[in-house]
Amino acid sequence: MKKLILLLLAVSCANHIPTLRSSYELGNVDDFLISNIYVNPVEVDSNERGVHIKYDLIVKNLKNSTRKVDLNRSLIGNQFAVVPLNCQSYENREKAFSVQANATFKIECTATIGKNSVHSGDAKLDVAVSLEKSAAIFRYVVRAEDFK
Amino acid sequence: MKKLITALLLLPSLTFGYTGGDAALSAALIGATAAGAVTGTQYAIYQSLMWKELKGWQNKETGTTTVLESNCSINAEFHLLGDHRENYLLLGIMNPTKDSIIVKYTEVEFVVNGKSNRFPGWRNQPSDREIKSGWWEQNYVPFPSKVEFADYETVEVKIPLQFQETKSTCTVTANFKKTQKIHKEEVSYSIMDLGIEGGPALFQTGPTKKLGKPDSYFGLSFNVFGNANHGAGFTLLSENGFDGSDSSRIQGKFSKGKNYQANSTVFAFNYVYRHFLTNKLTLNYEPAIGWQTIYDSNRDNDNDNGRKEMTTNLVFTQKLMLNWAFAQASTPGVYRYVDFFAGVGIVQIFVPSSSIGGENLDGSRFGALLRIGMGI
Repeated sequence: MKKLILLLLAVSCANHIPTLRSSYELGNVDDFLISNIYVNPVEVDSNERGVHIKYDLIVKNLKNSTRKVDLNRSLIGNQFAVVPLNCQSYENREKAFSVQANATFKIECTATIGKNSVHSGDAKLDVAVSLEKSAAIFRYVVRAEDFK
Repeated sequence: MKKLITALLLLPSLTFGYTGGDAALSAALIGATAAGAVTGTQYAIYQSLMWKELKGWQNKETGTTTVLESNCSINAEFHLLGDHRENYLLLGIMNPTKDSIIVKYTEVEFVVNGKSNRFPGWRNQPSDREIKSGWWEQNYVPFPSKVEFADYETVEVKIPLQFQETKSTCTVTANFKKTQKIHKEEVSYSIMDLGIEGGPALFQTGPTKKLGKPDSYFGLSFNVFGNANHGAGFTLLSENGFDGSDSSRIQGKFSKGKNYQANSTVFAFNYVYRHFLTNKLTLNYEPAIGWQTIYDSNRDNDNDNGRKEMTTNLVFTQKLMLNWAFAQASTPGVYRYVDFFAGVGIVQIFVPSSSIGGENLDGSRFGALLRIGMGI
């Protein structure tokens, strides 16, 4: 019953059945603690050019040493298409930077997925955000109706 | 509590070709979760973060209040949120261990300004919660007083945990530091309220007396508050049972029959000033400008010709209401609570210029109101 009320509330707020696009994750990758809680889990911007995805992460360096982060190799896509994911730090708008020991920072990423580039219908995309020596990967769902 | 892919899966090959330049990157899939009714909850939490994160506590590195911690072998994140009722902690805990953990919500503590211990301001009895291996949960922990939050400079949050099998205990801590001076925390029981109201007519002044004394008032009011004290909205008020008893010229304009009767409908846009006598008791002053339409509502006239408009005029109204928020119910979603309130007060309808059948009807009409409403 409670779940039904929650769903009805979400429907009334969004005027449509909400479609989950990105699940909440709080995980550890290569001694970086990462949260995607600031990613809009339901709504996505789209226009005639395609779907505009915004993916923000909060990251903490869990090592007691300074580390270098390089966001330039971030990508989004699936087996049909891969496009660059434009990521930068929130504080200094840098794509490559050093992170102090135990420091927390925010990464803001954007990408535009062109019409019919990933699949003819719905598609599960992998959002890969490069960090130091590893990339954190999240799932993101785009729907066929996003491209209409 | 929702399922998270239990572990971080190292993918030897990604589903799409990943070329990371000279140094091949290893990759970790953070996860993919089932949707369903969880969607509503997750979206509500996202909206809370967008709308309610405390601005005075946001750090420059992230532009948010986020504190991430990885101790006691678990992952946790903390955010400071606040609305017009209370400030609270948004807590996310992920359990990557092989053991279940018990989050001891009954033993959560805040250390304020490094010296003062405070317990959460739970509205209901909290219960300890189990988080199984590989699962996570998010929860709100209310601070004890929104008013005193303005004096907080630092807050240390202590979340005690117990591991189910080993019975060992550990406390996850997070530290927040204020980044902007906050002079005062505004507290109110609603930012938007809707009420129905009604009551008897009291008296009239000026030529409008010639309409005769109406029987009663009935209407509704809707207000949205920009902050605790100031808001705006509209009021719709119906006055029933004018009999034109003090003027034969007015009666002559009414439908023929034994029961002369006219009604008035007032629609007006109002400003509202809300003064808090206590957290739950307010004195509202609601001046408004709008229109009144007086129409013949004789039953025979209704049957023959429908309601016949007699005059439409500019009006000024003002209400003075004493409102008491007497009950509260928790709800899912962003607003979390609905408050129910009752109020008593008076209404004045001032008509600067009006006439029917050449009879001047300027003046004021007063009524008593009882209001019942709900607010979020």
